[in-house]
Amino acid sequence: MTSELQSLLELPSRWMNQAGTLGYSPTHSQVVSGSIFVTNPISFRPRTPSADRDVIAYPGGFLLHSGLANSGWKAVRKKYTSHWAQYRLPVWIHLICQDTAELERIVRECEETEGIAAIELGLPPGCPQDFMLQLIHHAQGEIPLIVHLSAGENHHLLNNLPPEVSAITLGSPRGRMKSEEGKIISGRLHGPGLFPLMLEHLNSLCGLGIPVILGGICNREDGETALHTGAAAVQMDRLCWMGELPVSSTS
Amino acid sequence: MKLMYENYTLCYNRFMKKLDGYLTKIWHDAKAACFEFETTSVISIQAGQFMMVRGVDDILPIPVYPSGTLNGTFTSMSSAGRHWKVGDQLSISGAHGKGFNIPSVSRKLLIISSTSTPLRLIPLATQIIAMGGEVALYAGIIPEHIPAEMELLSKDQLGEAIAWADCIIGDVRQKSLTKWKDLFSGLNISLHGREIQILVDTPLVCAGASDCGICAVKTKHGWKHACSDGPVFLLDDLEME
Repeated sequence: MTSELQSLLELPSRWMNQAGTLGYSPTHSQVVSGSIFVTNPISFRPRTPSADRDVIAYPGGFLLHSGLANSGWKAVRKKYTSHWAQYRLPVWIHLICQDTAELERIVRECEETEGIAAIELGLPPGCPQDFMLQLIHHAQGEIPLIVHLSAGENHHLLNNLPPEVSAITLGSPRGRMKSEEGKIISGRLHGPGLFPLMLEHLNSLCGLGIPVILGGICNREDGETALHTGAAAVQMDRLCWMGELPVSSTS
Repeated sequence: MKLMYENYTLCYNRFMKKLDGYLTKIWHDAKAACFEFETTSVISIQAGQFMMVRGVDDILPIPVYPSGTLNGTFTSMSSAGRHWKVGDQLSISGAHGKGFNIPSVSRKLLIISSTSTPLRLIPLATQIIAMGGEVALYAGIIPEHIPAEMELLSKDQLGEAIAWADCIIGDVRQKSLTKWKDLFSGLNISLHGREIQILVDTPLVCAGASDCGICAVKTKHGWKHACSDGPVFLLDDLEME
């Protein structure tokens, strides 16, 4: 099963950016030829920034909570279609959707859009497994589907993944921290301090027979370690923001 | 060479420039950490714009702004960067964002600061004074080093100062925007028709590289990013969330 599905998903590079790190367009100067470009999370309808948006640093990393604001699929597609088509990088669209009909519509439109090589589906936190499986079902189409899981969440899904899922990406975990104002903020954790935990999760998922793409990678050395430990590919996280994005290695 | 900025030039760089440098001086002025850098080349930056500066061991870069009375001085907010030491190697990118745009005819500048330091507004005061103009400052915290010619105001002098000024600038934490506007309530002060440029403090993380949205600011023209559309906005354009 694995080898058949892996053939659906082209990995011209084993290095790519993580969703949310480089915007929507591969025209960004930090994207190098030969890599894969993953868009910021895109929803069907526009999403406004969270009222509690914040970045909170801690030793070894930081918590980021943005609310995944975006102008919605229709506006993003209109603005960036030509970018996706023009640059010869495989573009993976990271979708966040909680409505199966809307999700299906985006998937159909992705199939008609030049340059889109795969869909990476982000699953909403805390929803029932049945609904997650429904979302996965409705995201299936003619282009490869990658399911994005957060480390430590929903791993039980992996036993029931439909065979059409080409790969999973394992993103860094969510966490909670106190803001300067004393509010408890929930968000995604980033930073090199998470790597041992990410590697442990990778190790536990590698035997499941589906390619695992490990996110949350903050430096080249950690990326290479993950690749040698069984990751099918790695997604660079904080490094993108420092203007040092992915390595053009195809190894 | 010492990293300097150009007070008078609107010099917004669309593409990220990066250079290496190191810290040559660090000190504190009231609650603010102040820095001087030595770099291999020049960054053109104006008051209100910012650079992202990262030490070798820093996980995230720190935004620093032109500040104070001396060209080449920069400051961070909340004392970020205070862990840097003289001689530390730093990676610097910028200039980012859009800064203040003071009309060349302005000679009466009013500064209203509601953040932990008005230092980032002081380069404009120095500029106006150098041109023979006058500057008045209303701030909760007064830095040690400000131009001697600058008048310090109390709250009850604000109304008169607003009527006097031909240019008004300020700074505010985004989460305190309502408090900034409340400053004028009860003072019988009309801001109607006054163009007030205000530096809005938000967390700045990616400097536009990722559209991360952390620095989103709600305006009458939709959501804007402080890192690229600001951090200086017109007060009239800002909306409460």
